[in-house]
Amino acid sequence: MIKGEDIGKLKNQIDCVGLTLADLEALVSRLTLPCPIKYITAQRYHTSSLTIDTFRALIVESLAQPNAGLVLNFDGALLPNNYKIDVGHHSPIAAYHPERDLVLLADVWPWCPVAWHTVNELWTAANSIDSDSHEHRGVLKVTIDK
Amino acid sequence: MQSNPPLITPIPASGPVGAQLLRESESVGLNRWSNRMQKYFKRQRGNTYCGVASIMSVIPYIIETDVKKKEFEGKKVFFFIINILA
Repeated sequence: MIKGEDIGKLKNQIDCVGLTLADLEALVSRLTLPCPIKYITAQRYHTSSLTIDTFRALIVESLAQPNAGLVLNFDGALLPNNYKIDVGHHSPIAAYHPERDLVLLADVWPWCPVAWHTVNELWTAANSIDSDSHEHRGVLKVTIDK
Repeated sequence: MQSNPPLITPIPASGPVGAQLLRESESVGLNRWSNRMQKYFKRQRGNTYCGVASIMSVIPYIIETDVKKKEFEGKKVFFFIINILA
């Protein structure tokens, strides 16, 4: 039997703790999709296994695939320009601008605009430790095949 | 002091653009995509949901999600209810 005090702590934890990159991968992997789709795969890339160059290459290569999507898990506190979120966050990567080495982050948080960030800025924000999982943050690649 | 980063309009993407988001922007416009996410967030709160909203954005068949907390064996757990376009 859980005591009232413990329930309060648990509720607090549920309200405060977000999805880690591994949680998100598990969620996508368990999705049941309709018949036109053969399978969906989710693969997470922690920044501990990447360099800034392989991070950039992963973005470019994945965006070029018509059936793939990328979700970035990063620490908003490490993004410059008074970014509105100062905790862990997820948002999809929408585009890459090779001449200026910018990535379009389609931020899902209402008060954060869809904006271009340098690869270096996003790498710094993603190359951080998630205090819940104690692992590096990173990128989730989702691939769908019909 | 640095200025805010530019929005989508000042710099059209010259490199690869994500397939799903490109389709979204072609069919409904990026602003409308953004509004859809904002509407989603009005129903939700907490830092868990940015991950689910991001998944909605990259999987074209997910049309709606809802997150509910329910009591299960004395513990509150999350249920992700995901509606998929068949």
